[in-house]
Amino acid sequence: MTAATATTTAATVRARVTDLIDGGTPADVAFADRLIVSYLQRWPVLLSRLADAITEMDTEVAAYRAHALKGAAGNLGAAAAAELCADAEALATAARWDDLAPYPHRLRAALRNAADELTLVLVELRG
Amino acid sequence: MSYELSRRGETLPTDALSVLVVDDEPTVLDTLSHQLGTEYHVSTAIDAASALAWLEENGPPATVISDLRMPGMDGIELLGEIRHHYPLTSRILHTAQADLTSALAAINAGHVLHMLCKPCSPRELRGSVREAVQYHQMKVAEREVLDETLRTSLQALFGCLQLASPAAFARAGRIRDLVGLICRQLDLGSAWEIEVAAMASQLGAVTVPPSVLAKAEQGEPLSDHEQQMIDAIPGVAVRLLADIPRLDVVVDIVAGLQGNPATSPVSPIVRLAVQVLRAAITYESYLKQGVATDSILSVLSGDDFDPGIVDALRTVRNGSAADAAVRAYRVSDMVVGMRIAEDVLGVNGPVLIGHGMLVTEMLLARLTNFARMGQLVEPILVTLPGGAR
Repeated sequence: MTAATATTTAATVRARVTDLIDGGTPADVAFADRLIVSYLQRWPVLLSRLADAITEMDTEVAAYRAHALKGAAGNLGAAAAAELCADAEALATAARWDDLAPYPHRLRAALRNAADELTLVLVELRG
Repeated sequence: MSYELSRRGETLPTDALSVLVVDDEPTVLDTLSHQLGTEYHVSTAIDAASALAWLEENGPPATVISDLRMPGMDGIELLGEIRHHYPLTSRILHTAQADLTSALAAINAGHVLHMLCKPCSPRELRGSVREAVQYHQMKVAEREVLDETLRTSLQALFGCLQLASPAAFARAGRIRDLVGLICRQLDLGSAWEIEVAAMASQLGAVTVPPSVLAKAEQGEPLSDHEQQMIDAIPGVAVRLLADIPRLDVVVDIVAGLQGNPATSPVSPIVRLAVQVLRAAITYESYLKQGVATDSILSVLSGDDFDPGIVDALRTVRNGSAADAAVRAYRVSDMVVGMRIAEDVLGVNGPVLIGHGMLVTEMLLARLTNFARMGQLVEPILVTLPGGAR
């Protein structure tokens, strides 16, 4: 994870959250809060399941889990993580296990980076 | 595989339309529900199968927004299905894979109105959905105009049959009424198409001399040439109706009476409709020849008719038998709502109005005019509305 990527992730995540609370109503803010909390709870679980499927070389399950992680990350603007997930999904579909091996590690860094930024955003929203 | 109704707390306008969102990512469903929930009744489905089940249960929404990649059926296939079964529902593809291949497939197979890239801004989402809902409303309005045009055109067409051949028109009406009763008994959803087919099946009678029609109705022996005229009756309707929009099922049903469906393969509903219509026509023909209902039903049971249809026919005939209270009336005493129980004849013999016709204001005016001129035979046998005695 480079500094540039981290900066980009911060920007895309914040832009997305701004989008999500565009109405500025308490309901919009509460909704964004709920969505972020859900992501913070889910991403480690989703990543762990993807890593398991890669270890087991289960093409269909690995591709689906990468796809699910891509959806969750993309919905909160974690574009770099979502792109990595898309790559992982394509590699899993092609059963390119050697190429896929480093992805859990790369994904963890990207998803962690997005989660860190979202944690900051959450504090700001609640402040 | 479950689906749920997701709305925000705000009160929606009473005329708010519904939008179905399909995505395998629960947070995307939550997000779109939140962003659209102030303007629309938003329902969600976690995959294509759940979406189709929702549609089956709730009917078509104004708009469907579907993800592209989902387990099982993908979004393009789902939107293609929706286009086929619910053509008035507008379709939006919401995808993280905005590549050319996906776009082409979405346009060619799903005929989508918009393709949105994930994550989509609320402004773009709402704008696209607003356009899609407006497109749906325009299609609904067009359909209503077409329905009205179709309905009135068919009325005019059958009005021509009434003028050209009152007996054939009355026979068509009796067959249509019987078909309607059977369809309701069988709980068939597309009864209007079968009922129109029943009327249309007799349109070709205008090409047959009344004497031949009368012989056929009475079950008298026909020459080969006369039989050919009778057999050709459904074909006339097929040629007349073949190019009219939205009558393809009607044409298939009428063509099926001749064993020549216009399209192939024939759908199960058309096959069933042909059987229902054929049973009603056969029943009506025997009845006209004076054969008792029980005997007709026995004949139909012994023939190759679907037992379910014969049972339905038996049920509706048993139900209506108790209602029949025939009375003789002079035209001046007749009222709207009575039903002609026996052919009304002109003084010189021809059938002016066939039995089974409902007395409407227009029909009563016609009878009154003929009665004033002394050109019809009175009294007239009628059954009373609602089985009154």
